[in-house]
Amino acid sequence: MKPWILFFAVGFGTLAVIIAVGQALSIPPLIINVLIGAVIIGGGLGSKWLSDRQRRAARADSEDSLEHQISVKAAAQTFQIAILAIAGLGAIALFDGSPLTTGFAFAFLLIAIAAHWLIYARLRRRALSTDGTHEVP
Amino acid sequence: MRNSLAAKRREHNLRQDEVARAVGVSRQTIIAIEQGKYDPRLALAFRLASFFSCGIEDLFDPDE
Repeated sequence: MKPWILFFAVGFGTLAVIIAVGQALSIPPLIINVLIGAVIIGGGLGSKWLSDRQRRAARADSEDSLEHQISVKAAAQTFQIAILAIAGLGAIALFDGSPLTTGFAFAFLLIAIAAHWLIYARLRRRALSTDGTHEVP
Repeated sequence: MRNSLAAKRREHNLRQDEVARAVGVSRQTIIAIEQGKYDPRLALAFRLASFFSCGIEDLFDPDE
């Protein structure tokens, strides 16, 4: 828990310092926005690094661990939610009269569904492939 | 699936974390198996049986 408290404290502290210094020295907003973006992106990558490190330390990243199995299930369910969210975004954009956004949303939807079935087919083929040594007579 | 992992562990006077480390999984995984809330994959079941020097059927009972 402590590493996460420290992580968020440093992250929010850095953001506060950037905003305060930017206002005090009248730095152009574009530079401030770029700096804030860099901190947020760095924070995202940093949180992934920290999370991976903690999972490795607890052996939670092992394929046989409960956490790994739960993570796979969660990812599968999240995929379904993401599909619905993209479809919803496409529908909103359609009624909003934004053809470009609608096109992008439905293109993403198609790519996501196609990727799912391509990966499924590849994994199924790999699972069922045989080198001839296990064939049933 | 019922299992006797907790009994085996106590028999060997081991802590959950020691078993978890030996078979390369998290302590929560061992806790969940002992409580019957998580059925391990075959590879892990074999590793547990090997660690306790017993047969896999001595640890796990598929009839339950």
